[in-house]
Amino acid sequence: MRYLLLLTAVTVSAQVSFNDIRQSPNQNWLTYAGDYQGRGLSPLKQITPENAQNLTPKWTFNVPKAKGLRARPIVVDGVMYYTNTNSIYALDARSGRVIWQYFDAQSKKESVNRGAAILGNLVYFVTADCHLVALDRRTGGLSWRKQYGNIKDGVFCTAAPVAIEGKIIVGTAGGDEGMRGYLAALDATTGDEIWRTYTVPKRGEPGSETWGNYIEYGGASTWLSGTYDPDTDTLYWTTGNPWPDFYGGDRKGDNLYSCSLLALDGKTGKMKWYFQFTPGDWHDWDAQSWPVLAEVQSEGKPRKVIFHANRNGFLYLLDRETGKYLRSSKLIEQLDWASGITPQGRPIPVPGKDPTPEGNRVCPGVRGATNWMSQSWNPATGLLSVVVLEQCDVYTSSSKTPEPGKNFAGGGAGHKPNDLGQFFIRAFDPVTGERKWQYPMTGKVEMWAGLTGTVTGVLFAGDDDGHLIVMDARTGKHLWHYQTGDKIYSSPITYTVDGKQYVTIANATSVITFGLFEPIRSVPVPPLKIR
Amino acid sequence: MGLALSARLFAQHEKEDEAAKHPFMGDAARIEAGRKTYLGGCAGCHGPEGGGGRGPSLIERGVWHPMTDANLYTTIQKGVGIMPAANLPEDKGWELAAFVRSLTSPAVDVKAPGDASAGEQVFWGTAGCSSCHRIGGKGGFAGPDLSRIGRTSTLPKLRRSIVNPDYERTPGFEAAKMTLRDGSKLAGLVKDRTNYTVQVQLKDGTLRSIPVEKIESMEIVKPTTMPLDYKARLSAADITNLVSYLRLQGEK
Repeated sequence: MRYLLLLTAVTVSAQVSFNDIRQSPNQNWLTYAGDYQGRGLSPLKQITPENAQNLTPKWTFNVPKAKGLRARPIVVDGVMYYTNTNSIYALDARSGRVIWQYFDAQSKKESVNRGAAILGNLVYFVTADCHLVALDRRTGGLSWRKQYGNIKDGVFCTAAPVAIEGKIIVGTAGGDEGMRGYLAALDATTGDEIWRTYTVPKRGEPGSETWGNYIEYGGASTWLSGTYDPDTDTLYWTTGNPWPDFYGGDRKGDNLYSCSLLALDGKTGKMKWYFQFTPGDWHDWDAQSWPVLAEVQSEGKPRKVIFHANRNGFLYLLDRETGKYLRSSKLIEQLDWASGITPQGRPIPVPGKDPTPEGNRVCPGVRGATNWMSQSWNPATGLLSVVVLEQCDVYTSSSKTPEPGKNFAGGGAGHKPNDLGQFFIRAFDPVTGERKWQYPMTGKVEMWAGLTGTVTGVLFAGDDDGHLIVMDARTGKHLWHYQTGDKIYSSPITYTVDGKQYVTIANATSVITFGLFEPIRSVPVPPLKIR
Repeated sequence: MGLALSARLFAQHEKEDEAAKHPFMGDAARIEAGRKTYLGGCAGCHGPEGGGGRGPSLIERGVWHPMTDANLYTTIQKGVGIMPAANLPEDKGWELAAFVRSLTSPAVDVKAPGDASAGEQVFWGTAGCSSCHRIGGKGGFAGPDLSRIGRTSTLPKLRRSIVNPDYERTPGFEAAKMTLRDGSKLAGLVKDRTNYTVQVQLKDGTLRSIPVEKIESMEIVKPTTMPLDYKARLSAADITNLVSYLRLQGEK
C-alpha cells in the first residue's frame, strides 16, 4: 500500500500558458486554428511530399450520436480534446482511447460545435445555449459554467472559444433568425464577463443610420473563431449577414457592422477599425472565413497585412494596422453580382442581381465562394491555399414582415437540379491575387472540409467525396488519399506524441488519425498481477 | 418469471416522462411521506433503502426507470407479476411513486436532510475527502472528480459510495504500479487499459499514454483505494451532512 500514499500528494503539473499558445502549433495544436494568426501551417517535418504515400490510419474514434461533426480538435501533451453538441471528450492522441468525457445535460439547445480552447489547467467549450464551460483538463471535472447569452434572445453558440492572456473570447450565432450579434471576453479564471462588443449599433448610435427597420434583430453574428495579434493585443473577428437574409428592402443602407471584419482591442473590446466586405448584403454572404494575419514585402518594406477569402467571391488584401483596403482579386470564375471593387474597397454591384420573388440566379451561391474551413498560408512559398466553391444559386425574396425567432430569412436560395457547382482547392499569391494552381474535386457539392499545410510542403485536405487527401502544396499534385467513409465538414490538424507525427481529421461521425507506416509487431501481454 | 416481468416493463417504456411530470415528483415533503409508506409495505422485498432483496433494486437505473410517472403510479397501484397491487388512496400512491422516483433522480433534484455547509467542512477538513477528490478544480486526483456528482449520482448511491465505497467501483481508478522495459518505475491510476495501450494518471494529475510493449511488468489493485471504514469513522450526522453537500455539486 505504500505507493498509494504517493497518489494522494498534490503537486502542480505543467500548465498551458499564454506563451505556449503563442508557440502553437508545434508538437501541440492549442487553438482551433492551430495558431493565433490563422495560417493553417505546422512546423512539423516528419511527413513530407516524398513519404506521404506511406501514411496509414492509426485509430478511429466514433463520436457518440454524431451527425455532422464540425469541430477541429486541440492537442496538448498527447491528449486530444474533441467537442460535439454540448459535449467534450479527452482522448489519448496516440491511441484514440477515451480518458474522460463530459456531457452538459443542462443545455437547453443542440447545435453544431466547432471546438475547444485551453489555458492553464482548464479546457473550455461552449454549450449550444451559450454557457462557457470550464473543465479541469486532467479529470474533466467542472470548474464552472457561465452563461453569456440567452437563447430567448435568438442567440445560440457554436464557435470554438479563443483563449488569450487571462481571457476567453466567445462568439454568438443565430443571425439567420433575427438577433443582435456580439463578441464577449470572459475572465479565464472566473468566467465573469469583462467586455461585450455588439456588432450592430443600438438605434441612435453611430452606424445605426445605415439601417432601416429591424436593427434590433440585425444579426451580424460572430459564429467563427477569429484570429489574434498578441503583439498589439488585437482581435480580428468576422461578422455574419444582416437579417432578414434575403430581403433588404426594409433595411436599406450598409447595415453596419454586418459582413465585416472587426479589429477589436483585446483589453476593452473597443473597435479599432472595421472593414465591410459586402455592404447591405442580400445574399447571406457572412464574412465568416479566416482573416489570415501575415507579413509581406510592400514597396521594399515589411508590411503587416490580412488575407481574407470572402464568401462574396473576392480575395482581399488589407492593411492590418488600419484596415485599409489594398487590393482584391476573384476567388472564383463564376462571379456575376459585382463588376469589381472600388479603390476604397467597396464592391460595384451589377444591377438586377438581388433576390426576387420569382427567383434570380446569382453567383456565388448562398454557401459562398468559401466558408468556415481552414486555409493554409506558407510564407516560404508565398502561397495561400483556399477551398473554393464555383456555384450559382437561385435566390428568392419575400417582403413579408419578418418575425424574429420564427425561422424566417426573408426568402431562400438553392441551386437548380442540373446546375450543380464544383469544389476546388486553389493556391494564390495573395499579394498579387494571381492563381498558381488548382485541384478540381469530384463530388456532390455537399461537404465543406478545410486545409492544413506543413513546412515540408504537404497540404492535408478533405475532399467532396469523404477522402482525406495529401497534396503537394507547391504544385497542387495529389500525393495520397484515404476514404474516411462519411462526409467531411471540418479541417485537419497535425501534432506529435512521443516524437511521432500524426494527422487527424473528423468526418461527420468520427475522429480519424493517421501516421507514417510502421509494422505492428506482436505485443506480448506483460506479466500482470491483479489484486 | 423474470423475463416475463422485464418484457412487460419494457413495453411500458415511454419517452415523454419529462412532459408528464406529476406535481408530487421532486417535492421533499411528499417524498418523505412516500418513504414512510415504502418502509411499511415495500421494504420487505425491495430492501429498506431500495437496494433490492426478493424484489429488484430500485436504486439502480433498471428496466423500470424510463417509465412515465403515470406508468410508475399504475405499476405501484395495480402490481406487476408477483408484486401485489398497493391499492392506496390516490395521494398516498403518488407520494410512494415520488419516493421511488427520487431513488434514481439526480441527487441535485431531490431535497435531502442535513446541513450542506457542515458537510463542506467534513469534505475539505475532518474526513480528508479532498486529499483524493476534486471539486471545482481543487483537491486530489486519487478518486473521482466530484464537481458535478449531484447531477450524475443519486442520493442512495452517494450515501453508499461513502459507507460502502467498494460496492460499485468507478472505472478509471484502478491503482497500478509498473516497471517499464527501460527500467523506470511508474505508479498511477489506470484511466484506460487495453492489451496494447495504457493511459495512466500520475499523482500530480499528469496523464501518460504508455504502449504496452514498453511495459516489463504491471501490478493492478482493483479494489477501491478509498478507506472502507468511513461508516465507523464518521458520525451519522457527518455522513448525512456530507451527502447534503455533495448533492449540490453541479447545481449551477
